Amino acid sequence: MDTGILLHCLSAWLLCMGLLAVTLRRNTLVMLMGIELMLNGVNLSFVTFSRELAQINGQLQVFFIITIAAVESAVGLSILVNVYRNFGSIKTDRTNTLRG
Amino acid sequence: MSDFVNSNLPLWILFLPLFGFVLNGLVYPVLAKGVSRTKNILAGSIAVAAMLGSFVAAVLGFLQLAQGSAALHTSVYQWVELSDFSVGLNLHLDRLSSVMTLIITGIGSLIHLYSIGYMSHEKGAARFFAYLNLFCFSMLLLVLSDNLLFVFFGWEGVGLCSYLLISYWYGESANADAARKAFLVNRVGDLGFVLAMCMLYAKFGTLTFAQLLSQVSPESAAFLTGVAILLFFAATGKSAQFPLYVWLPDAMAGPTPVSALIHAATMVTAGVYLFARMHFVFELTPAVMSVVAWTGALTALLGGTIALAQNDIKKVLAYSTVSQLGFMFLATGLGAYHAAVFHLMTHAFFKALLFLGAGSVIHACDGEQDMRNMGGLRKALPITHVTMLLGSAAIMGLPLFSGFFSKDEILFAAEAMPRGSMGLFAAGLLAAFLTAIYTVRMLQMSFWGKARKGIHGHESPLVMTLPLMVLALLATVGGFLGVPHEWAHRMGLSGHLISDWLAPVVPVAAFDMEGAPLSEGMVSLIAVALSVVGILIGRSMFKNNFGLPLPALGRLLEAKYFVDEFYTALFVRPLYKIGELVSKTLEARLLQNLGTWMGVGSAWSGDRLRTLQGGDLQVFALILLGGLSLIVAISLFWTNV
Amino acid sequence: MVNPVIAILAAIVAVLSVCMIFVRSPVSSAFSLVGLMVALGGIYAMIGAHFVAVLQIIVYAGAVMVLFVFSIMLLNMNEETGEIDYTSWKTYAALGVSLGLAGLFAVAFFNWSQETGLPAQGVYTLARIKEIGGNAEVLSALLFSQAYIQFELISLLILVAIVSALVLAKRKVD
Repeated sequence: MDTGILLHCLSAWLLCMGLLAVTLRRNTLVMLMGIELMLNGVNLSFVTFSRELAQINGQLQVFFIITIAAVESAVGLSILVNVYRNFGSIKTDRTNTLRG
Repeated sequence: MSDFVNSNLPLWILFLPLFGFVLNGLVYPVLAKGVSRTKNILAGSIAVAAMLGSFVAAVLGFLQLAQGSAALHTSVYQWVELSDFSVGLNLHLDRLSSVMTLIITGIGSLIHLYSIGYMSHEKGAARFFAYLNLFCFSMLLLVLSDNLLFVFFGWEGVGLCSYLLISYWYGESANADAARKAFLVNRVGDLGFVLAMCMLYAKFGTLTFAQLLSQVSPESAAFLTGVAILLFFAATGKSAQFPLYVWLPDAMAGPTPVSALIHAATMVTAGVYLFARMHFVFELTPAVMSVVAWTGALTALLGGTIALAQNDIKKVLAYSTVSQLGFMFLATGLGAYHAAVFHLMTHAFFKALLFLGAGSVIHACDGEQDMRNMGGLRKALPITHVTMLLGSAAIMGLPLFSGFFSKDEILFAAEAMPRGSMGLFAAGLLAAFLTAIYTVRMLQMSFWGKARKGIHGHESPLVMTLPLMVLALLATVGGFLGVPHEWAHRMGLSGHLISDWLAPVVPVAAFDMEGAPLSEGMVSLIAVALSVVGILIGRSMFKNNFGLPLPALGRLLEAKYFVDEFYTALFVRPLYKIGELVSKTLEARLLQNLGTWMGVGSAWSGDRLRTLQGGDLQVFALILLGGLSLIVAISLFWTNV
Repeated sequence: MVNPVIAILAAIVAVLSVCMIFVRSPVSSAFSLVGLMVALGGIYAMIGAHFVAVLQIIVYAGAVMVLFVFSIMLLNMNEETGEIDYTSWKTYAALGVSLGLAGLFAVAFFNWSQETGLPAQGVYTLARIKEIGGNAEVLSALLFSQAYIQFELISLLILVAIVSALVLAKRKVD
């Protein structure tokens, strides 16, 4: 098994662990961390491809993704603070007013 | 304008009654609210106008044919157009159809006129007139179509209208039962028709009469035997022959004009018309034709004997119709199509007359139909009496009346034609003898003698007696259309007009003039003698009491040989039992619980599925991801996608 | 064959990611995530994407995760964690879906690796990058020439995010 395959599998693993965090944990903060995890997985995939295909576009894309992830976590956390203020807790059990 | 009318005469003939139906049935109830006598008359006038228009068109068509056209053809609508099958509404007015249309529209107009008087006291007669017009439309469709499929539509249509009209007074459940019986028995016969159509299509690939005529050949005779039997079965249903005649007496529950039009003059003749149209099939199946002839003779006797013991005036006429239809089928079975059509025509005249006269009697007696409660009406209803006498003379075959010529022709065919036999001839004579007896009995019970119940009757208005008079005239002189050739020359009249007219379309019977045991003159003599004897016997036997000399025989005949009871036990009861079985066990247990189970199941599954919409964002995310995994899996493993 | 360092770093990443999910306290989750970011940065460095590695450490591990820890402090979350409920069907559904998806990806990768034909190799092999003068050189050359529109847009985005974060987190004036 060479590096490429290992890293690709790792990236898939990170993606799925991020998914798990989002769907499994009831704590909104941990859910946000799961999203970061997913983004990291994607980053790893991009970088691995850029190394395998000897192109630089992958790393360029990672540059942007990291930036956007930072921005998004900032905004997400401020929303989280608001949620805490309104619902009194950040557990998702309380925030189920979108009931069908 | 006249050109437009003239070149499309079949259209006018067919669609004017339909137009009347639309006006009376659909437009009229919307526009004219409320019921009154004048409204009934208005509705009736619309219907009569439609029928008269149709009659005028029929006469014009007849004139055109007389001037030399072979047939008038109008293609109205191409209904089916596949590569191997095409059928459309094409109206074909040829000589046979023109005879039928004249009968239908002419007698139909008279009966419509009569109905204005008869139904004037009804609550809402527009419905009646609408149905009558619809019936005429269906019957005209039947005789004008050039292919079997549309004949079948007309066939079904007249069955439907018969149902609607018999149950016109649907408040009485007896009427509804009678209508249902008529419809169902007809339906049984229609199965034969449908099967015959399927068989013909499967073999020849077409249902148009002209094409079938050219394609049928003696080598398919065995196949055609099946077709012929099925068509005859259908005809027994529609034309009230044995075994499917049982609906006709019950159909007397409808208003008398209905009985006159449908069950005497037109619908019941559809079977005879079918035979005349499909003669090329029947000519190739002599075995079936023998069956037809013997069935006709048997039915004639059956009807005649039962009529001897009936006390309801309309029932007597109903069984008389069954008997006369038997005569027509006897003629058809022998191959004497023109004689059958001729008798169809004269029978339409005198039987419609008799029925309308009976209706006049019933109208005068305020709805009384039992002849035991009538009597001595000749003083109260003079016009009706005279016309009934003329009609009775016609039905009994007294000389120079219409029935004389037509019935004697059939009797002559019975013994002169190749398929004829002395047995058939004797049966026909016996039936004619019985005709005289029961007709005189009917006259004796209702018109002659002393008034029994003191029913005050008054003569019907002109609107009712005028058709009676016209029909009486036709019944008297209509026979001169079919005077046998040898006599015609002696009398200075032209020969057998009917058969000459029909010759291009229907084969003329091959009378073996020389080899016949009895000549035509002898046959007529014997028949007239029997009728006179019958009159005398009837007059003396039924002067005072109306039962038969043998009480046991009388009871048997009055109970119609228990045929209805037999059918009930054989067919109706088992069906009811099956229905009970299904409704009590199958439906009550299984199907109802099925509904409950479905409700419970749906509630349970709804309960479970509710968590999916519970507002839990993570469940939403899970669902999304589940779908995504499915897509990925499909794109990985199912390489065809 | 795989560089053992990369292998060890990959193992660390995998373990830490599982850790992050199943650990109780959110602070521990955050710290395991930090460790994960650093290890990931190490992997990037070992591969030869030096610029990205540094970016990862500075921005991701250094800024984003610090933000997370700040939020934990702000929301006063010691023990209130929202534990995993092992009796509910949702847990197992989540586990099933995620692991299933992971398996599908693995299968896809292995199938793909058997097939021939990677797309055409580009220009920027490790040797070439070294020739030009390093990762940063290459990336910045690209960033300010071909991708400058995205660059400007990203800066706009950052501005928007700052403003929105400020607005959202402001205390309401009663």
